Amino acid sequence: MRLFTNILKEVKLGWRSHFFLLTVGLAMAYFLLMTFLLPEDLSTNIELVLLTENDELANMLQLDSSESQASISIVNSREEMDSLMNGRFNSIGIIVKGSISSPSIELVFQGHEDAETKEFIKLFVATFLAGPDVEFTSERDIEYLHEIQSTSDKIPFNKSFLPIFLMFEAVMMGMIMVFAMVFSEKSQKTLHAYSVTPGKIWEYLGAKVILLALLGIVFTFILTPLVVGLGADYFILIIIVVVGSFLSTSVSLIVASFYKNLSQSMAAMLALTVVFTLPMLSYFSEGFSPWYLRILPTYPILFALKGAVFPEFSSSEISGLILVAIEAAAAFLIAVTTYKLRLRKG
Amino acid sequence: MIEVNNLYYSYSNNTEYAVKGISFEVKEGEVFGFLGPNGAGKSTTQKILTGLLPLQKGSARVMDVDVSKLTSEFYNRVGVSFENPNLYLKLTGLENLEYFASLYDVPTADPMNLLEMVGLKEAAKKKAGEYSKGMQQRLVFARSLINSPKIWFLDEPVSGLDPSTSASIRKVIKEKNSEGTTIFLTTHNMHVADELCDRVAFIVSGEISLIDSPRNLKLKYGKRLVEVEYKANGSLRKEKISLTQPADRERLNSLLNSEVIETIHSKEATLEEIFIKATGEELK
Repeated sequence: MRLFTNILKEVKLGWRSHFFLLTVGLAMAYFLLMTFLLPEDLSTNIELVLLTENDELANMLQLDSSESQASISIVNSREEMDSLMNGRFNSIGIIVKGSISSPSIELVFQGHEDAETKEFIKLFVATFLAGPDVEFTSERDIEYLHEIQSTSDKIPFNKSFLPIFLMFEAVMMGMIMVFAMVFSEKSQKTLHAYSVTPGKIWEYLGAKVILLALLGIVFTFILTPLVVGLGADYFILIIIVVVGSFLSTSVSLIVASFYKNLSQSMAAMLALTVVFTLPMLSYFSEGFSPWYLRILPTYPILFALKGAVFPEFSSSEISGLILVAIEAAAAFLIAVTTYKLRLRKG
Repeated sequence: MIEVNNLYYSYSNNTEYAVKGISFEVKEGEVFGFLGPNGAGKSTTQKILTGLLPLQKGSARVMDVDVSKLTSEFYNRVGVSFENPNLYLKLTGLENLEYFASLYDVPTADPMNLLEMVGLKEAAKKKAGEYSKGMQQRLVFARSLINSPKIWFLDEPVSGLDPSTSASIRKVIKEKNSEGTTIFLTTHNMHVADELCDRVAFIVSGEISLIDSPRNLKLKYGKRLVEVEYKANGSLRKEKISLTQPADRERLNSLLNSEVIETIHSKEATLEEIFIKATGEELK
């Protein structure tokens, strides 16, 4: 009952401190960021759009493209080329005029390509036109030691940020907000008033953990459907967010108990955030997962989030969350003990 | 109700004691005043007795419970009013009281009645952050009564209040005491202590210099004089007359019978004067 009234109090305070509004606002901001600012595709695969007066060249190029990483689309007019290239981030247009023996080439770039890419395209076209005897490196000569799931490459670049944002906000939202809550209450000395009642410290801190998990769930249930629709595994997602939030809030409670105000704690708060976000390195570079990243509790959380958000591309390793849940429970017990001790120090 | 023996406390855990071997007891139903200047050790003692500071050296029992082993059951019977308002500023006055009422395992008072008692009924639905300091202090005072405590710790309950509000708070304290509540009053306001306390302890630099009832202290340290102002031959005159000397008593009778008396004031010592005399310290 006391836990419930503590939760009710935290929800009221959270609402009046605009935590819920902030959560909804952040979810919408991340959605807009992913939809309008981050490109869907940031791969280096180049899409060539070819406009040629010569059918022989067109047939040759189409035949060759089946063995190349670059895809080639043949268009019949400049308008069609512009229309196709508009909205395809990696497309480059090639307009070939004249005969195959004496062609005139015009390259149409998007404008964002760097000098190296432009030179590479020029070289590619020149080499191609030099004759059919030129050998290009083929994937047939490459032997992969570990097969990478080919389907995982199909997660659009912008949507691949969803697990990161969920970890930042839904899981680690507790960190910043807990610091704000704890220091606000330290300045108001409300914990002293609570300490002379029959209320227990675990109920007091537990209510904060639950509020922040609730905010995490709100964030998740706004952003995830907007980005991936109903495709995510929402049940697993709730479990991950709750466990992750439980851990990050508990750890933040411990750290916050050692400082008097927000400015004093800034360095510790930033250090904690940086350490907890380090598994992002492994996320974007799957081959890079040294032991010091794997032991971080946010490592299994991040990859479990990826599995839950994109169940068709990767499996969700929620078994790793059991250890995280144990770590979270331990952190919470330490937080309760720390608050009891520090409170009794006056 | 409260037994304290040879109590020491050091904030730095060394021999620099904020409280130095104090001993006293408070009887059930008594209003006990703990008086001293700022930094004397009053609040430290109260914090130890309410479990907000650990017991380091000596012993202290409140309602027969060792203060190093306080339980929920203990806090169900204790009320604590803090000097500095420690409220949830984003909750209304009513919500603050309702929240704290929900923390107790014993029947609690109606929050609205408490707000009415301290003159905050009209501001019940206003956020505590929008209250003046005096209103916040009254809310903290009301909060400390939410569980109808058997023992009530009051830390400077009328500090910073206007005279009218201060009078109403003092009235509530008297009422609760008449209902049987034991009160431990920490203050540096000697007038409040004089009016409310059955006994007072003077504490300076962490040590208790004396404990007695305000009446006994006045008798012991004060002079039994009256100051009389009267009109004689068209001019205002003033005389200090002893109440213990036979000649002075005759003089007083003579003045009362023959002159036009304007004012008579008893010149007993105030608690503040006694405090300065007994401790050599001024109250700040």
